[in-house]
Amino acid sequence: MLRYSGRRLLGAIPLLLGIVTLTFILLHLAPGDPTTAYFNPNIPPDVIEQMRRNLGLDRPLPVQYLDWLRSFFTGHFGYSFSQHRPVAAVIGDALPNTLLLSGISLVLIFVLGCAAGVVQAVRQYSAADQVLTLLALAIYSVPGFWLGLMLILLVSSPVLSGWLHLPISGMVSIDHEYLGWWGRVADRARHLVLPVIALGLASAAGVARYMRGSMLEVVGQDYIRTARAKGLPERRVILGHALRNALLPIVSLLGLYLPLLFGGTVVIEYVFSWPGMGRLLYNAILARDYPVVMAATFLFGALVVLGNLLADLLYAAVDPRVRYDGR
Amino acid sequence: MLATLVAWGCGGGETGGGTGAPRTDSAGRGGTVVVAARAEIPGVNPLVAPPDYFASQIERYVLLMPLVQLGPDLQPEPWLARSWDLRADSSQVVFHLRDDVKWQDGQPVTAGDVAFTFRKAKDPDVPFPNRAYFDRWDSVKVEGPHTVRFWLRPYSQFLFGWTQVPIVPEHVLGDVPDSALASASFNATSPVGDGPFRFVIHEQGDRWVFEANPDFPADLGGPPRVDRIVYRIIPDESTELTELERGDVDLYLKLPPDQLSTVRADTSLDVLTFPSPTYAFVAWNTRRSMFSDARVRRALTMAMNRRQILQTVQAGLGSVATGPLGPWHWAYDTAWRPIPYAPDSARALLAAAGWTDTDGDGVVDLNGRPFRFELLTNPSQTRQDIAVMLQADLARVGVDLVPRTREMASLGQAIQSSKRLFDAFLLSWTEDMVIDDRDYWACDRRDDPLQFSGYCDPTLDAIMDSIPRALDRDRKRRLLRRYAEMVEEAQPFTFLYNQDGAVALRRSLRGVSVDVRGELRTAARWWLVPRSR
Amino acid sequence: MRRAGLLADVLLPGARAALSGRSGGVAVLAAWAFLWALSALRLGRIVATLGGGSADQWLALATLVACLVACPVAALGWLRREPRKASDAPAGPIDWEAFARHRQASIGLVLLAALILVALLTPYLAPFDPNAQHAVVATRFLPPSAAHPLGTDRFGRDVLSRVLYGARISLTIGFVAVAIAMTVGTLVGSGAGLAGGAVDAASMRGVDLLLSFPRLVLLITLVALFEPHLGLVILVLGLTGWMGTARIVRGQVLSIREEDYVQAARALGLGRWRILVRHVLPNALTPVIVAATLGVGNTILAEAALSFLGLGVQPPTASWGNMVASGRDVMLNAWWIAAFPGLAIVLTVMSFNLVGDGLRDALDPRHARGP
Repeated sequence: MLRYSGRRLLGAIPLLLGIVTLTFILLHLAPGDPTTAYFNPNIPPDVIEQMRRNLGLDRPLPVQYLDWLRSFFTGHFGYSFSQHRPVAAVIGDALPNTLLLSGISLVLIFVLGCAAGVVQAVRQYSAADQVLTLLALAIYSVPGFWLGLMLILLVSSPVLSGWLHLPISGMVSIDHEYLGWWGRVADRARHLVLPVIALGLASAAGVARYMRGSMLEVVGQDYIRTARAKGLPERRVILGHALRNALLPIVSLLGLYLPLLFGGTVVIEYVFSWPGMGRLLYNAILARDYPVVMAATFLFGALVVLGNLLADLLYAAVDPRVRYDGR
Repeated sequence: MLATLVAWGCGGGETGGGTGAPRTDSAGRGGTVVVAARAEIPGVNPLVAPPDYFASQIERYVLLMPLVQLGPDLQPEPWLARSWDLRADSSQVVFHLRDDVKWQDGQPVTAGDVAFTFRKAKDPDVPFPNRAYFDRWDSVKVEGPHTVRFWLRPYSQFLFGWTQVPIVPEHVLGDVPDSALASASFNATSPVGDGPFRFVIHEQGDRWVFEANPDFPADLGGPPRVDRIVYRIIPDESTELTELERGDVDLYLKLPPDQLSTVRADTSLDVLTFPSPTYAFVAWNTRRSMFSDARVRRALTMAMNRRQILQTVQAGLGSVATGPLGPWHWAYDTAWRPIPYAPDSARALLAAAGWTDTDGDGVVDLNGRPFRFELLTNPSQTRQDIAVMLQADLARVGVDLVPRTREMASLGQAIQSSKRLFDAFLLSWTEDMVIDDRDYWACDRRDDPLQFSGYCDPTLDAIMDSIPRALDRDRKRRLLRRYAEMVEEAQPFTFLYNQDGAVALRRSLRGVSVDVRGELRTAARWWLVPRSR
Repeated sequence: MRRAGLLADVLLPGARAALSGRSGGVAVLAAWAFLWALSALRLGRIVATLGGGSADQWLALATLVACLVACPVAALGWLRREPRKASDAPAGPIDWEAFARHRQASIGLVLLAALILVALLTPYLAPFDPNAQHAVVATRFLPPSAAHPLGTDRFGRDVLSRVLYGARISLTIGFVAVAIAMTVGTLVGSGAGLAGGAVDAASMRGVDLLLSFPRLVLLITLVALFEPHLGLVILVLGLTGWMGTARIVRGQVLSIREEDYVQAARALGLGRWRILVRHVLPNALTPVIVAATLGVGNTILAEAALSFLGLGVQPPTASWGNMVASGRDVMLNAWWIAAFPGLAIVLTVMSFNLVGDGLRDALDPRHARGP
């Protein structure tokens, strides 16, 4: 398994190199540079020239590219033009926040999606199934940013805000430092509620649609009929036998939803003032903060590669054939 | 003229407020003030960061100390410098520093720090953005632990730079090479302050936390009354407003005009406004033949219903512009009146310049060319809204304006490059408090990046050149007025409106005073009314 | 009797079918009533069009006339035919009857047809000019009322009219971008499948590269770096959406290549491209259509997100995404500006998803499980 993972990660290197090169080319094709983004009538032109030299932007492009690659392989990502800090520090601050948000959303997506899918499949054609099917389709079509805005509108309406004081922005309350350990966990959790719903609900609906189909397929198989014929209780048939097999194709959905999830964070972080990678990237692009843009796009690619690898490993873990081999 | 101080209403019960932040005592000491802004600041190191409105205020009023501060009449007053001696010929100045100010790590603030800050600001390898402040300052000598002497060439308002650039600690930044200064940990990770507040923590993209400096000198006001200031970054405007209404934010900077009515309707909130040096304008590229005629530019201004634009995008917060000088400035003449909105006169003026609708397509033309141009602007909602309204206004006089939005970096490129690939552009920006606009209009700077309009008038040049040399305030006022009137006459820009700054705050936050010097100026004197149950 | 039936179908098309319990009849009848009501209410504008109108208005008029003709034709043709029995074999690759029996898909199709109709008829439907502004200060931020059913925005512009006009932008972007994506995807996929070997491996690695990248991140990077305008947005959306199609087409090419009839064609000496065009593509087309239908929905969502960030369609042109964005800062006192365009997005994307799902079931009987 280790060798397999190693091979997969090695295979991803040209891919990541491609992403980085593509980003570099795009950044330099686009009009403007960090100093035009700081466009300010109060800075005299010779200072702008000086800033450009200091940022190394006066050197030939190939030199800049090679320089960047070198600094990249040495783990020194350069420094952020717009925040005046090393890129590693800038990313180091933002990445955990995005991982927290998307990790929790991922759990919600699969737990909620699978649960809804199973309920629908077990009660196929029932009213619950029909309602959930339509609901899933509707939710699947809701843009995350709009859902986020509507949630904010909802919790700040006079009716709800009285008893449901859910935070609508940021990661922690201002008195976070004064709270006990459990208080801090609870505080973070409260701040996560709305962004997670806005980010994950649509994907959860998508998973529910797949899960329903997958589950129905499994329930129709011979071994399930056999299990039922043996007189096993329905609950055990469904949860013990059917669910595990129905989950198999769902695990491979992970690869599909990861890019979607990370893309979604850009907008959701913007709406909920979540200081993560998406907002960082968006602001860095507008400020033409080249080192941050390159590092961030690279990381988004790397995250997806890692996520896909994890999905494959997970697949191997839940696949009964693999398990039986191990016994 | 004094910058107008707008007082805030007092009183009003305090309800709600869900957080368990530390309470204030009955004297209104203690507590945490949460300030909300829309964007992260690019660090608090004045030597390397590009000029940023709020970063500069945090540097000057919260974390660090400049040598001098601007008083209510915008004249320098002692701050870190207890006093200064100016030689009769204005060629030397000696600052006597306070000896009771310490950096938050316990080191004293000395003349060495002042000299260090000055040398770095003059160092060509340091990207200090405001180098122009010290153009005429030549050298420095430390004459004692708290005495420092400068040599300079005299000019008016020579101390202004020292009100804007706070002193930074040499013992922290002295060992940092110039190339690493732009990513020093002092900038945004672990700054060391000497101002009324100390740095506590910075969570990137989320908040900066400052706590009261208990050692702040008593005759400068003593330690701040509140325990902490949290500067929160909330990029979404509606979220910001909701947080304010719920009591999770106390002071909301740069209140968008659209939210004015909501805030005014809430009895627990207040709005403070002040005339600011920010104005919106349309720059005409006079190198293009259609804008080379001053009559045409004036006609276009007359065709714009600027009052309606001000009402719509600014909710009336501001005034229709009367030229390059806004009401915030002490040289502003209250007798000035804006060019009136008069579509009929505009049409007549266009016809006088040769533009008439000969082919009946609704667009005026000259020599077979229709009056059609692109108005560039950046992707800001306000600017796009203005562009939409200008399009409708100019269509009424037969001019076809095509709005085009460009992302800021590429817009900057288009208007600053020597090719000047634009007809006209719409922006708003904030002026420096010292007016020296030669970069915009001077003939000999026509190829420099900021001479957008390409306008040239030697008489105007002579007046602009004499402004910085005028050491006497009355003479300077006359020159500035003459300058402003000449620019208004020629209309190389159409000045749309002067913008008022606005903040919203909870009534429980007291002591806030806002004017052209900034919103955070009185941070050390803020206090909170004890929350009542 | 026959003649009376004929007359009824022409005067009130769909009525007889509706009476006999067929939902198709209800839809046709509803459309008929709607079209006549519209013609009566907007007679003034229709007459004005005849006296010289813009391309928009002529298109709307043509649509109106075409639909008025189509209703009786549908009643006389399609609605008179007996529904085929479920047990019969489908006639073509797509089981249209199964599709028609699929309740969700039918709802989706009706919704979609209505949306397209609305988009085409907007010049007659919209109560106001979407960009008209008059006495801005007095007419702005009006809550929904009889005069402005969905309220007015910050310029006093009618939100309903802007939502209606926004439909054209969103649908156009969706269709054109997906057409670009399908073309590129089909070309790359069939090229890779036919060429095989290193070309195939390389292009599929490329597809992997692009697929592994968050699309929205790529979109934002591309659009934010350059000047945002409609053409660029469409192009970029198209060029970031073709990878799935390429995979599908390549898979189809690889599997069909070995089928007997293709082998036979090859034995007959037909050229590669000819085999591709005559035999492979028609078979690969059906899954591509499903992907395209679902793709339009996704594209509309992506465009909305871009416009929301200020990177998509630029004002004053109304797009649902930029309408939500412009209502964002006044959401608490004028919720209708952001709420209704968002609902329009949901409705549109949902109808594409409904149709796409139904199509997939209809294409693949294994999946068909409509009640």
